[in-house]
Amino acid sequence: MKKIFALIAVAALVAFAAPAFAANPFADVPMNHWAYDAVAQLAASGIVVGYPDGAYKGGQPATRYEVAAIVARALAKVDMEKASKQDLEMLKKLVVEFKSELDALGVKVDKLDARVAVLEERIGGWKFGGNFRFTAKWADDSNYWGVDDDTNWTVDRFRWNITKYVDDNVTLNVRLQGGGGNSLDVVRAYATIKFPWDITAQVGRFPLDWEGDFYAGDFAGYMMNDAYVTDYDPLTTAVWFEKPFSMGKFEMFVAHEEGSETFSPELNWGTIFNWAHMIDYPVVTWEYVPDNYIYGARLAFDFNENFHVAANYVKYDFANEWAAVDVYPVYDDGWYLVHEFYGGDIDFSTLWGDLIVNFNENIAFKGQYFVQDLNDGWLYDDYTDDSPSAWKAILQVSQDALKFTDLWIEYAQLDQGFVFANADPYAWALSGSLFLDGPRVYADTAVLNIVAKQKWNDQWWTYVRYADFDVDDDDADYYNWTASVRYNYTPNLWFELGYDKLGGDAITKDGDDMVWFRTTVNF
Amino acid sequence: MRKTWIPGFAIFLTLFASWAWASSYDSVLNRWSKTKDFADRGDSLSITATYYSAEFIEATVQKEADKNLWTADELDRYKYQFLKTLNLEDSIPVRLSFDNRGPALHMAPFGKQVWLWIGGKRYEPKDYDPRLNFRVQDKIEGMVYFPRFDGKTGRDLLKGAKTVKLEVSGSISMTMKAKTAEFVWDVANDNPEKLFAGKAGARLEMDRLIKRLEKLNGEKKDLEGKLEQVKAEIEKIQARMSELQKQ
Repeated sequence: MKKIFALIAVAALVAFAAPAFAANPFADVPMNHWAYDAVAQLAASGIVVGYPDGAYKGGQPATRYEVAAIVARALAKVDMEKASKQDLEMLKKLVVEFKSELDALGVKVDKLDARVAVLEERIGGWKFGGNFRFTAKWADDSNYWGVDDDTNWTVDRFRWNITKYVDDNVTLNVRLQGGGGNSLDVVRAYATIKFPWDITAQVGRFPLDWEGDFYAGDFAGYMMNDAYVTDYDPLTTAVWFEKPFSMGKFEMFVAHEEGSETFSPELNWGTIFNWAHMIDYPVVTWEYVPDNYIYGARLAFDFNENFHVAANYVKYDFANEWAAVDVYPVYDDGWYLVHEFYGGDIDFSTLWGDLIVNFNENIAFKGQYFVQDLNDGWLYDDYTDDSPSAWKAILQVSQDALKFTDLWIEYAQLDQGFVFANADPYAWALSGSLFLDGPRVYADTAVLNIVAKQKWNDQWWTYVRYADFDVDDDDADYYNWTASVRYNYTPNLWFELGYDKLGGDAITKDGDDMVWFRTTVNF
Repeated sequence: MRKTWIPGFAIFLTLFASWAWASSYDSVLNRWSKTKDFADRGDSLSITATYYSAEFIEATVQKEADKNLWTADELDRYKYQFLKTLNLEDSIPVRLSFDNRGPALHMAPFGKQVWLWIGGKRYEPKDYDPRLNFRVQDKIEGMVYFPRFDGKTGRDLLKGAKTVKLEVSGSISMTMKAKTAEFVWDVANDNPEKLFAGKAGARLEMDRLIKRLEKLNGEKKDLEGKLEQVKAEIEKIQARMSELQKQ
């Protein structure tokens, strides 16, 4: 039956697609050739379509050209929705078998790249991509940028992405990354799984970023401000569910981090009680960080194309209290060992709201308001507020509107004690050493960040950035200027030359400059 | 120490931008074209989605006509070809453009990576440019066609819809950090029927009617065949009954 069906297809297609060969007397594909079954199977599974019924009732051998015409037709008509991996394998095998006939028919297999590539894409298995980055930096002596000996050249990144489309419901993504002194390591590994009712889950070590609309990036997305709470990369081993609906989305995740216990004798530079000069002295530190869970939930809603709101919540829930001890010697008419104890309940949570108003497709206002709930382990010294808050307001204007540049104008205020839960969002501007105390803001701070990006053409791109940190402790005020020119030699290879300058009260020298040059290759 | 000039500066910029942005057709074309940017510390990806609303199509056609100084007939011919290419009679077309400045994109099978939400239901594309299945290292764009009518009831899906939302799966590129790209358009005031007014619309309607007629003729032929079969069977039964009565 299958063979008859295949022959019906052969005859119909020959009549339709290649009439010049219909009269070919050479029936050189015998009826027991595997191609008959292959074509019949493709037709039966519905991926080869478009054959008129009843055009042929007999059962005769076909010519190679006739079968090739079917293959050409199948390539043009293959229904990717229905085609299974086996079907595609079979079609590819037919293409290989009848390649010369397809060429002779004027159906250049190379020119059929669209269809052949489709086959390749579906049956090719693992997909690879990645990039390589080389960076050279030059700075002043004893610079804030941490550039060793004035100059630092490094291959600071080699990134290798691996993707496997397992089936219609499962995709696997893995990223290996190394460079900058780090060995190649698995930095992401996660499965994206589709469930019924449009629910999608990510399982494994994946990135999670609920604040991507609220921080500026340069053209490549680094060395700019970052998320206050999320943008985990990766979120430690976790499960994340998403349920979209017509005008919004509900998301939730749970992650678990293993605790740690460290014991570290080291030499610190400091003043020992009643000694008139500085010496090296030993400090022995023991620290216990308990296991913790991180829970998060988000509800986002679009009232229409111009008005978007979202409510977000993330909680860090530790199994026990955090504890640490410093032990060091003190001389006071004799040597004593001093023990300093730290610790407490360090559970904390952040609740925040997002608002985006698009005045039109080129101009948007964005705002975020955060409030934290800190347990007593976070309250010591001047940190007395157990619910510090932060907010930011952004005006974003696209290059299409101004005709000469994109503009990002951001103003943020951060309360003393506000905790950056995941990572320092202003690390690019050396905030860690200038206005942060560990993961938290050490004094009320206002941040102004202005970025102007311009794509002059496909090759030349530039940006200029000015960031100002206005800290309640005036001695900590500082600013950062950045200017960069990027030349895209090809879409996959670009060179970037940049200049950074730090200045202000917190910068103890008369400014600090750095020039950097970066080469990036994608594959 | 706080910067009190910032709000004033922001208002100035907004006004300036509003002034700078504006040009009859471009503003309409821009309105239906939306871009989402993704960045992942060194990698970037821009996805632009264009919804072919009636307003967008009219503006595109008029812009071409103005540019080429076409006559009304020429405009109608162009519009007819344009509408025909878009398969508007049974599809909702969306153009997707990807500008990738990072590791290669692998989006195949693309039909499983993109959805359109209309009135609380999510629809997969009925057809799309197969080039979107390619490995992409720089730029690519292609049309994606979603069903315009409900497969079971034949109802026009856009009838009564206030907004539509296009989603592109975050699993097409690690640069998207597993986040879905979402594009929302307000379509409540868009009237696709308007496109089918005039000569171009009449020709398209004629095409559609011819197709419909072919389909109905096919169904008629099928039904007639079945009727003939039934008639033949009835005759056979009657003949057999007559034989039995004679026994």
